[in-house]
Amino acid sequence: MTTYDPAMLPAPTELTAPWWSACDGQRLLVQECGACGQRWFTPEAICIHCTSPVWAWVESPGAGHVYSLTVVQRAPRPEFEAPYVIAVVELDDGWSMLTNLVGRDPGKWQNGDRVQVTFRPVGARRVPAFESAVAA
Amino acid sequence: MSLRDVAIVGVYATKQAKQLPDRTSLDLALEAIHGAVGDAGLAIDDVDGIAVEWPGPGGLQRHDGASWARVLGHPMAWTSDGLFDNSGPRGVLKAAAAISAGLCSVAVVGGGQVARRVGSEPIGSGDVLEFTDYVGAYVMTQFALAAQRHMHEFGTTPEQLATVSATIRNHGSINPEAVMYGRGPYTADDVLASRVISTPLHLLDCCLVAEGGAAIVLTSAERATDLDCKPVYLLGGGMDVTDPHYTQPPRLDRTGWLGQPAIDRAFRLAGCTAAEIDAFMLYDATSFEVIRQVEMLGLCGKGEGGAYCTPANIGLGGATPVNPDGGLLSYTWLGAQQMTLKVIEAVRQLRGTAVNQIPDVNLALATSSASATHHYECVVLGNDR
Ligand SMILES: [Zn+2]
Repeated sequence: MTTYDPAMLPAPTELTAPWWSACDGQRLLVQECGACGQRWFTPEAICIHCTSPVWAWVESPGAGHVYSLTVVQRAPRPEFEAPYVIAVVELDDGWSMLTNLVGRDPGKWQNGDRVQVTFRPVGARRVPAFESAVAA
Repeated sequence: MSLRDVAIVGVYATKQAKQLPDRTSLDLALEAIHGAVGDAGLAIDDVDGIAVEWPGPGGLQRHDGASWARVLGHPMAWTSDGLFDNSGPRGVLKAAAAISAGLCSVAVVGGGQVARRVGSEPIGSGDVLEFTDYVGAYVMTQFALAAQRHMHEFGTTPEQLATVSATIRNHGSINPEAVMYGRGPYTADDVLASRVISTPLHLLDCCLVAEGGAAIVLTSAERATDLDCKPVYLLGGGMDVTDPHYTQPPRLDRTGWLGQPAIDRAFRLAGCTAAEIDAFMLYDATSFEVIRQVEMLGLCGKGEGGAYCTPANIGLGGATPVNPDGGLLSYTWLGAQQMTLKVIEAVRQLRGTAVNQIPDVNLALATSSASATHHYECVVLGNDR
């Protein structure tokens, strides 16, 4: 998964632009509710836990563990070089995301592995992925 | 008024094939409409409710309802727009609600589809998804994530997944209408020997991609008695929707039991239990989906679906036969109308006219889903109101 057509990334919306801008600066943002304090992803205009419209972008430490993973052997487009790993990562600060696991033999990953966010370039932009949090 | 006041009076499936190069989505949909209306002993002029889609090329995807009034040559009293809303258990339940409310009298649900594919690439969500596509995710990878977590939590094995695939594919092997007719028989080892698509799913754990059309005609149970056909009654049904299309991580703890409320509602309305169902048409986009559903149906305990799904239970002569037509794994998958074909197979089993007929079917279940990720619907059908 070394190259990717940046045109495949949709243009950010008014709601999602701050998230993408933060990625460019290698920071992982998440929405946090001003009323109930909970966090969520993907972006929504209101809190998905209590419907409050009062929320703020906060920086996530980007630390978590693997909840589930799949080693993809058949890529959807030539820009993706199989095998690569797609995972659901559960963040320690109370949310989860669909992402890639990188920096290790795809067959070595297991549920529960500790991971830390990293950012990989996609054209001129950067997107989050996760690497092992245990020093190699 | 209730679902029991509505009957399915006509069904029709076109030829299903990997490719139908001489067909368009529109003429497949039209063949299905005419076929189902004819099967009911009705005429096109009787149709006053329509929920039929024909995704491109040549279609008006998501805005098809109003178009049909013009194409069929007379105004409609009730229409429905949108992919998936016009198919399978969901389309049937919405049309039944319209009929029982008196909004229309004769409704058609279904559609047709060719050329959804681009080359031989895997099927994506159909939408551009801002937080899914850059990861390299597509539909099968999402199913795979749910399956992998189930294996992690419950010890479900690749051999158990493969046994589901082999069993259902073997039903299709002997169904002359199936796209994969004559292919097989398969063993679990054959499935495990096929190439890996996205762990733990092998090629033979994943549904087909094919083309075709399908339609169902519904009317009131009262009107059905005047028709020259054997009506099948809608006894119960339910829907469960959790997320927008493939946008959210398919976490087993959040969406793994997606559909449980729909199943509970369907059996409550029908006044029966899963144990009383004679034939199960379960949405089998992957082998794992069958394991997930037998657990939700209560045919076994949570986490025991892998062990439950042996030929002795889900095979043609089994205690709870699943997908006698070969399912999505072997009969056909055609975009959205494979959901309609689940209902059609249920109707054929109840009528006693199915190709791989299960003896003495009096209650049948048909389900549809975007597995363990965002939506699930089901209907309980019976020969008696
Ligand atoms: Zn809140």
